[in-house]
Parts: sequence; C-alpha cells; structure tokens
Amino acid sequence: MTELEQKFVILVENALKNLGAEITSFESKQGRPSWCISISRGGTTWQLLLRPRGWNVFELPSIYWRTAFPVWGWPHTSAAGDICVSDREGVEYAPDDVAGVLAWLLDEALRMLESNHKLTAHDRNELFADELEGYLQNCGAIAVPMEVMLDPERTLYAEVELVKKANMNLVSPAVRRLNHGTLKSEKCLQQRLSILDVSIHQLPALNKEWDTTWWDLFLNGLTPDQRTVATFPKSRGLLLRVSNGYGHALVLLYWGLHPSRKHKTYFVQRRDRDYLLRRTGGKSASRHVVVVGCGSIGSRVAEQLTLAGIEKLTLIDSDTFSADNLGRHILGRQAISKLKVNELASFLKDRLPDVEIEQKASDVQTLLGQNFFPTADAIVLATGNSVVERAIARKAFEEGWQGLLVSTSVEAVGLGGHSIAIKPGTPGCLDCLYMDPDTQLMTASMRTGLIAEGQRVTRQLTGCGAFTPYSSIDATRTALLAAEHVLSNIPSYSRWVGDDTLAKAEGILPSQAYDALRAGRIPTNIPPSTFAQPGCPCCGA
Amino acid sequence: MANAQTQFESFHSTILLDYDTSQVLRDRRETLLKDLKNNISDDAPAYEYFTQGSYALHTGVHPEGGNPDMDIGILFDCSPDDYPDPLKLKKYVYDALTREGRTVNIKNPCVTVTYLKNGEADHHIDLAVYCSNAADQTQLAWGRTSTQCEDRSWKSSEAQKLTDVITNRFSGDDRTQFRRCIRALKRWRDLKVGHKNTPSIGLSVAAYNWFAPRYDATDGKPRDLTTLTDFVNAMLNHWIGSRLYVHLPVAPYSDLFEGMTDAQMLDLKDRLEVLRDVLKDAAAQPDTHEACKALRKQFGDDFPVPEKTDTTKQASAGVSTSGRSA
Repeated sequence: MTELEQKFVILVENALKNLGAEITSFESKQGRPSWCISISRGGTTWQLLLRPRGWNVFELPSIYWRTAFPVWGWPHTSAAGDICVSDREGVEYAPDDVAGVLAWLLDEALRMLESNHKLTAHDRNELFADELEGYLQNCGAIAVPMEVMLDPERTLYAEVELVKKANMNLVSPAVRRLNHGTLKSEKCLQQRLSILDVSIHQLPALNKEWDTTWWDLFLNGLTPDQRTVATFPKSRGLLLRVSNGYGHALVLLYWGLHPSRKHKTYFVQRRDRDYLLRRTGGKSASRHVVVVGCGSIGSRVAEQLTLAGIEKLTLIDSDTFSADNLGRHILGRQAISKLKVNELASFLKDRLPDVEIEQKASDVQTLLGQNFFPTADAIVLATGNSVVERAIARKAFEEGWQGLLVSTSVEAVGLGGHSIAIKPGTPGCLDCLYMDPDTQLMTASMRTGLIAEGQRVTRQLTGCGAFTPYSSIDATRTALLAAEHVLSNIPSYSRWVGDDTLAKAEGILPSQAYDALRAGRIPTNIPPSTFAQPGCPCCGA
Repeated sequence: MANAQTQFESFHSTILLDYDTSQVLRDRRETLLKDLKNNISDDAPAYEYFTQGSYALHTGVHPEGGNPDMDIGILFDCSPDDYPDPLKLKKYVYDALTREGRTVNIKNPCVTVTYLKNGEADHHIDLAVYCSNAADQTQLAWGRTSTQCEDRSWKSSEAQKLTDVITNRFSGDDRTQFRRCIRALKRWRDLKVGHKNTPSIGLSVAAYNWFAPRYDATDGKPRDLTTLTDFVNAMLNHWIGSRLYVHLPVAPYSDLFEGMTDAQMLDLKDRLEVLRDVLKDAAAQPDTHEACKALRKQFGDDFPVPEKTDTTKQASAGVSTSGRSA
C-alpha cells in the first residue's frame, strides 16, 4: 500500500471504531479496499461490508448487508446486499471528512435496515415492487428497449436476433426491442409475447435467469385465468406488469422457440415519449408548430420543441444541407447534400419517438395558401429573410391566423439575437419595428438591429458564397428564446446581447440599441404594446 | 405618440454654447489668462486657474439677446488668514487685466471683464478669486471696492468640487441627455422666467437631484421629451409650501433659489406647470408636427418644427443591409 492508502485505512478504521463498529476483516481487491464490520444498534447486531470506491470518499462508499444471498424482497437492497442509502445525486459533503461521511453512511444504512425489519413481509414486498426493475438490472438482467408506450390491449412483439455463438454452430436468441407491430431491425424476427398483470407477491425470487423449477413455482402462484395467459401456446415470452407505486414494473420472461435449461430475464427500458418527457419534468403538448426555415436557428428551435413535448411539427425549407453548415447546424456529415427537412425530421424522430413530423421541402411562399398556417398553434419564422417574414406576418394579421408568430434571427459576430413573438389581433407586429416612431413612416432597417446601419457584415472565405459570421452558441441562444416563446405562447420581444470583442476586431460598429441593451438602460424583454406603432399598416395599433 | 427626439437634438445643437464651439470666447479666455500671467504683481501669491460654471458643466446655452459669459476660477496659493482683506487679491487680478479696449470691474463675487461691440456688451468673462483654508476648503473673495472693509469677506465656495460632483453624476449617454435637458430648460427659463432670479446653477443642481435618463425601451434611443416631463414633474413635486428648495451639494450647502421672492417662486411654479402640461400633451400627440408646434411655444423659435408628415403617401424606405441571419 502507498503512504496515502495506508493513511486512508487508518482514517477509516479509526472512524469505524469511534462509531462502535467492530472490524472483522479487511481486504484490498482490484484497487478497492473493503471492511467487514459488525455493528449493534437497538438490540440487533448487523453484519455489514463497507466498500469505498477507491482510497478516498470522493464518491460515496458502498455498504452491503451481509446476509443470506440473493437478497429478495427488501426495499433499497440489491440481490448482493448493496444498501442504497442514497441515489448519489445531489449529495454534498467535505471530501476530507472521512469520519463524517462514514458516520452518515452507517447511520443511513442502519436506519434503512431497521425500518425494513419493522415492516411486515407483505408491506416490505410492496415497497420492493417499486424498485423491481432496478433490482433486476443490478442482478444482471438484460435491458430491452421499448420506444412506444405499452398498450395491454394491443399485441406485443419481441424483436429477436439470432446470435451465432463464437466458434460454434449454435445460435442463441436475443431480444433487441419490444414493439406493438412495427419491426425496426431487418436482422430481427417478430415473436409474439403475452402480457400478464401480477402482483409482487405472486413473484418468486427472480434473478437474471430462470428455469423450469422457478416457472412451475411461478405458475403455482397464479390464478387459473392468469395461468391461461402465461401459458398461451403462441407466445414466446411473457411480459409481466408488476403493479407498484409508480404504475408498473415491466419484466420480460423470454423462452423463445426452443426449450432451454435456463431462460433470460429482461427488464424493460422505457423509451416512449411520455416516459422520456416525464424525465424532463415536462409533458406532452398537443400543439402543432410550423417551423419555417431549418437553418442553424430553426433546426434548434425544432429540436427544443420536440424535446419539450410538442406533438406535431411541420418543417418547411427547400434547401439541401451543405458542408458549410457543419460548424453551426445540429445536423452532421450524413446530411450533406440531402434535404434539410428530411434529415432534420429523422434526427428529431430519433431524439424523441412518436413526435409527428411533416416535411415540406418547398419555398414558404408557395405554401402560404395551405390551410395549416392559419390553424397552427405557432409559426416559427427562422428564414433569415425579414422581408418574407414581414409579408407572412401581414398575411397572418390580415387573415386573423390563430397562432403565435415567432420571428427569430441572429446578429453577426456574436452581438446578439432576437425572438419576436407576435399574435394577430394584438397590437405590435414586425412592421412596427420598421417604423420611425416620430414620422410613422416605414424605414428600411429594423430599429432594434444591433449593428449600426449601413455596414457590410457578410464575409467571404472562398470568393464565392457570402455568409454572415455567427457561431453555434449564438444560434443556440437565439433558438432558446424562440422555443421559450412558443412554449409560453405569450407575445413578447426578447433579445440577448453578447460582447463586442469580435465586432471590434472585425471593425463592425454596434447600434444604439446594442449599447442601451448592453448597458442595461433598456430591458431585453418587452411586450408588443411597447413597440406597437399607432400608424402601423399591418397591426393598425 | 410623438417623441420629437430628432427635434430635441437639433434644438440642442442650435442653442449649445460650449468652450469647444465658441472660438471667440476661447481666444479671449486665453488672452486674459496670458495677460494675467504676464502682468500680475510680483507681490501676488502663485495661482492656478480652472473653468467653472456652465462651461465646466457643459450646460452653456447661447443667451437670448447675446452677451454670453464664461466663468474662470483663480485659486491663489495662500490662506484667508494671509489676506484678511480679500479685495487685495482681487485687485491683483484687476490690475493685471486692465488695459485699453476692455472694461474691467470688481463685483462682489468676481472680477468681470466685459467686451464691447458697437458700444454694447458683447460678452463677458467673470474671474472668481479663491484661496484655500486650513481644511482645504476653497474660499471665495467677496466684496468690491466700495464695500466697507468690515463687510469684505472670504466665503466658503467649493466651485471645483461642485463641478466634479455634477459632471460625475452621470456618464456616457445618460450624461449627454442630462446636459441636453439642462440646456433646454435653461433656454425655456431665459424665455419664460428670465435669467436673473432663477439661476442656472439652481436648475443644474435640481437636475443633479431629480433628473433620470429615459430611453425608448424598444430601440434604446434617448427620449428627451419623456425625461424632461419627468424632471419638470419632479421639480413640481418637490415644492414645499410656496417654495422650491435646491441646496448646493457642496459647501456652503445654501439654497440656490433663496434670492427669489415668493412672487417669483409662484410665477416659476405656474410656468413649470404650463411646461409640464405642454410636454405631456406633446407626448400624447400622434403627429410630431403638431407636437413640435406646441413645444416651440415653450422653447422658442430655435425649436424646429418638421414638415407635416403625409403617411398616406407611399415613400420609399430604401434598402439596407441588416447583418441578421438564421
């Protein structure tokens, strides 16, 4: 042992002794020390194993209950006896306070053991059901993804790949995915599964594998009706829905076509839209958003809206993806020379299954007559062409479209970005930002632009193909403003301003609006009423 | 809603009187300081000079009827105890500057050099004489030749500090708007109230106390109409009884409007109320032309009135490059 390791051992052993633990053995395996200890509390003596992750407590040490294995039916305790005193998220402590960490750890572990022991076996099992999937994962059960929400009324299938064993002519089946009829991989077979609702009390101790003895025991605990489902001859496996405090734990018992001495246990890794959204704290929103322009901003707006739970997106862009876009677009090399809308749709469906995406590889002006514009819940205008966007906004105000219009654009060289959310019928529109408040006459440029007028900001790198220099970060910041506008559904103008270091280096002069925003003299968020102009020909404010 | 910002800025350019923009005053100031340096008595203590008043504060306006002034402070390196009769120091200045073609007078607060044109006062330069006491507080030499010896005195007056305090109150665009609004109000005062009894420094210190810069929340451009309205409102809100008290923020902390009679105060208040109402009406006026016509009545003929806008006519807005993308 190194000097540091020895020092750590002394620290731990002193701390354990001070906590009243008796050290029965110590060993160091694969760079991890571990101590078998016994500790008495409340008249019970507990046999535990303390196993730090290294020679420090930078990560919380593991603590095990040394009892008859495998442990089954004990909440917060794995088959190997690992006591889950914390989910290790959000725990903070001083990394040098070894004694303090061990005192807390032992106290939590004992508190949990004592609390579980006070419960009846029935109540303990009920709590254990909440963690069944995690328990099986720890046991080495195999994760099988399911990208749609389980519907007990529909037929369930396993996508099964026959995997050839190395140097042998034998093949063994492996379940790759569960579906309700849509086979995803060409390499797989569809095999029918039954679905059975059971209670945790009907489940004998289960591990990563099960055999006929276990199966017979299991069948014995079922009602006749349940047994009929479980032994349905056409099924190649059984998905158990074990009810718990969160709904159900999903466990797959797969036996396949051929008899075998042992069968594998799978736990279902949910990847359905509802589950993934709940992980974000969000929920599905039955809204239809049209994204016009799938460039660096539009693509990111679409991505954020998809992940936020918007159910339907219509993507409009006639462009193909160019290698020049790689530096700041969310799409990668595989999308080069392909239509942006198609590639983006694939990307988004891959991010969150079940999102409904409609692709329109067309110029927006040719689509304006279509009826999805007036009825969409929101229309994101991310074309980089303010003239077109103003024309669309005018049409929306004139025809009284029901949704929010969000015009979004990014300024060159990191100076900032805009997201202007307006709503037909509410004074304050894009044209209002192109009016001189004093003369009420239209101006050529938007008065809130962050670059002083009359400057050329586009650049060339090859002599052919002008571009506006802005970064992926600039696009992302701007897209977030636009996505938030869509989600809040509140008309408002938000902008962000960055620093002008690059602008100075490029000889680009910021505008008065930039200076005022940067100095905090004016707010970055304003309601449409603030910029509405009384003589506006569009909103007639 | 009219802002008339273009007109306020144009008005400001017209009325602005600044050290940098007045070549004649600048030349005469340099000549005076040169004469002082060359001709001052060998018995006089060493001195340094500084600009004070509206030039130092950058709030000077072309006075209606001419005779603009400039204020210079002459700070002698001595203490009041060295010169119990402050007139002695003022006489050193007076003697050094007196020569043919100039009218030099010793007044209570300063030595005034008046330049005549066709027999009329064209402009004048006031030189205030100071020294510092043991507490490093500047003291103003007060009194004129006719003043009885016992009435001549050194009065606390921290002109330099006052300049620093006021000029550092705001910075950047806020300061530019601060100065523009003081100048506009001074011109209004010249026209509506008269210069004598409502001293400029009183208006400047009132602005120091109550001015708040205002910008268009959308495009960040200054909104002088709004800030002037707010400032005039703030002044009216600070009326206590029949008077507005505006105390110097430096020694001697005196009320800058103490010389005004109650009748003058009432007149000032009445006129400020009219100004406030006109400013408010102008802001509510949808037509800038009409708003500026009303504002001209308050600020005088130097306030421009634009042509009436015909919004029904299609005018080309032109083409610009935005630098925005998506």
